[in-house]
Amino acid sequence: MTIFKTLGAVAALTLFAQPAFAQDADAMDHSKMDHSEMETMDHSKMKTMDHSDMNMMEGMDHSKMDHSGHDHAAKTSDDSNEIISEGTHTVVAKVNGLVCDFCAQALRKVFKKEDAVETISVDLDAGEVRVFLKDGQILSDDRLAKLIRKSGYSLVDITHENGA
Amino acid sequence: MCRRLTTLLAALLLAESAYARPVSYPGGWTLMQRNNGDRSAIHAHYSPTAFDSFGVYIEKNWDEDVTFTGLQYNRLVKRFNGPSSQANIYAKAGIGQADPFGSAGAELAGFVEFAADWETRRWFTEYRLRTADFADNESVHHSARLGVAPYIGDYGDLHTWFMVEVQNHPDGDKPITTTPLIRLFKGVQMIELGYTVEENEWLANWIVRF
Ligand SMILES: [Cu+2]
Repeated sequence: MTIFKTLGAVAALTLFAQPAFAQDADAMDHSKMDHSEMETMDHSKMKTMDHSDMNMMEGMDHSKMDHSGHDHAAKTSDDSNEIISEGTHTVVAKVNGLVCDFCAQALRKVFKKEDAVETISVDLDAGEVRVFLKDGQILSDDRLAKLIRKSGYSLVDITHENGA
Repeated sequence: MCRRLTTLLAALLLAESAYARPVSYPGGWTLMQRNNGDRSAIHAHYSPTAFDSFGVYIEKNWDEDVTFTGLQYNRLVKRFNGPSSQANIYAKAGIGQADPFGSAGAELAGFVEFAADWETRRWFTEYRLRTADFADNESVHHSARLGVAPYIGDYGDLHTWFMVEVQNHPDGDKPITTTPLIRLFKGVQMIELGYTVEENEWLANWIVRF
């Protein structure tokens, strides 16, 4: 059947071409979206936070961090834990609407494009997106909310884990 | 026809892989193939946002003996995000030309589609309604799906769904058809294989996202 030949040809092409796509991040303009719920958040603490002493966490072992309730098998990142463990500030977003791997991929693509973000992991069971920031970087709550919305999902709440 | 289609897609995909890195690339691409007893179709689309996409759509309709070639626009009208569920309402429209098999001339043609779905990690339901006008041949087509995942895999695992699709074409020889199918989903690829009982026809769908 010719249709299956076509399918096979396209499949082969796609698989061949894939590594080049894998790096891309999606960027979308959602300036028209409703962000009203974010305006009630308090960002004052974040803006005054000093990240200059982040290197106090150097040598910290990522495995000692509290990851209860967070499934490492569900990590979307291909980066190793060692790279993100030093001096990392982590933001955990509780997100509604996460039901499959495509959801996790959409978030990953959007967050990968954000300069402050080292990597993210998505826990579909817990409905949590864990954002690992680069050394000394911050991600404001409203920016985080915008990225979640841009990916097509709804933010419920945000928790900061300041590497402590 | 199939060779031309392959060439077109090859060009599209290769151009994409060559240019995606150096130029800023705002969205994602999706390639879908759908084959069943009624039609074989291919749809390649680009999403500038998470809420809409546009692309090319080519369909060989075995029911109506016509080939449709055109552009398609898809809009996520509304998404409802629940703590462990997601529901979506989509509107889709296509415009192009319909070329009846064996005829010389093509005619202006189009279709509109409405789709709604609701899913959790365990359950999947979907309803679609399409009305098409292909070369003076108007048709209405309903389809509904129910699916269950026998196990809940982790991210990156092979995900499996057992589904049943019921189709209704009020004007057709067999107005109602039933297609049990299996959906396999891993990484960016999704494959569906099924069998339409009433028509003794296979279903084979394939979706890949970049
Ligand atoms: Cu999903």
